[in-house]
Amino acid sequence: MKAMPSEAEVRAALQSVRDPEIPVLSIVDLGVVESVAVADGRVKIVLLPTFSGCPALGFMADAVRHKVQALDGVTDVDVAIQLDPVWSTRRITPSGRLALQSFGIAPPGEPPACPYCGSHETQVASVFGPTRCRSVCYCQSCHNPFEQMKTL
Amino acid sequence: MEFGRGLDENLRAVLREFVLTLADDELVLGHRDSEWCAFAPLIEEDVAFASIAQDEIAHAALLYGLLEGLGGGGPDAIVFGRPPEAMRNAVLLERPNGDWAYSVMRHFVYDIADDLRTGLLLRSGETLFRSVADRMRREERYHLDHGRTWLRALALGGPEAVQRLQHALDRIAADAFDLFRPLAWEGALVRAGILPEAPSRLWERFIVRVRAELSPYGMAFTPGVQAPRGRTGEHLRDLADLLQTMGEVWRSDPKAVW
Repeated sequence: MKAMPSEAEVRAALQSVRDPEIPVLSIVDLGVVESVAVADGRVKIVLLPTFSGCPALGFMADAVRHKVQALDGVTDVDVAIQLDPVWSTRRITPSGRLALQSFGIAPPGEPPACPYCGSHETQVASVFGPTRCRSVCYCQSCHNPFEQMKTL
Repeated sequence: MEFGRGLDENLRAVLREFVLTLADDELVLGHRDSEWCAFAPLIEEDVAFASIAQDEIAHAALLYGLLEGLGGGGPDAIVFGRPPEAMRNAVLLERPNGDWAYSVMRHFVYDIADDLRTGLLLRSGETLFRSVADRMRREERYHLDHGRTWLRALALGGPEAVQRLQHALDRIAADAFDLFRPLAWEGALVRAGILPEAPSRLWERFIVRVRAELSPYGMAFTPGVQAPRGRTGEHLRDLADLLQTMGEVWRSDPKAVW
């Protein structure tokens, strides 16, 4: 029997699980992975839902199960979704914020910095954007419309 | 999910009833919101109302999810499988959208009620209630801002807009007591430590809040207590029509997995 992975190894593997709608952003950087516990070949992972009813959650949970099941030494994976603690955009890591920006989405916070030119001369055109987690903004400097993740 | 674990049968039934009042309100208003998609006066508002609709229905889903721990079945069956008389939403929320003034005003007044109610849940003895309320409130503040922005724009927009807003507010005032009418089972939730006080105690605070928001525009909110009784299942034909539309696909094959 192979040695089971350490908690750190499981977390490292989860770095390659991405938000299906923002494929540059890992779910670890999104702050969705609340805990990882490894014992006797069994891995228990607790995920926190982001925006309530976000359709990406089910995909993330499936991808996590798949990814961890494929690690050497893992016999069983339990992925639980928990409401407590409540996820907030403060859980997004600094590298997660950079990833959002590289994808053309301003990270949460005020005022939004334009992800294209970096200008702070921006305005939120509508808080409600193409998905429930994004607002629509406009850059006065480079005249591009862009999106920002809403602050929760 | 350990929601309601350790409670006796009576209390579980009361808790179920309470959760249904919260969830059915969100569901029914969420559906009405969705009806603005493609008909709102601005394209941004098509998107905004559609997004708000998704928020409200997601909140309803969170709340219906709590019922699974109380033996209430899955959310789909709870939503699509109940006749109108089993719905616990306030009649205010099932009224057709009417004009833009009515839709904006109703949503805003309801958001104030919702804010008070989720504030109550934040002080609940049930951890899951606190978590759900916390999540809802983070999203709801955007709804309150949205409503406030529109009311200001309309209220400063000339006599016809003001007249339509006041007319909407009068219609809402006639229905509003349904939101906070004292219900027989409230006390049991307080005695069990699940709620810090009865939801009906929020009524006076609700009136104060609505007046504080609207009196700067010279609008009067004078609710009566002769309101409809949606909480005990007395609904309008409009709700039956709404449920018919909402459940049409599900009823075509209730066993289908989507």
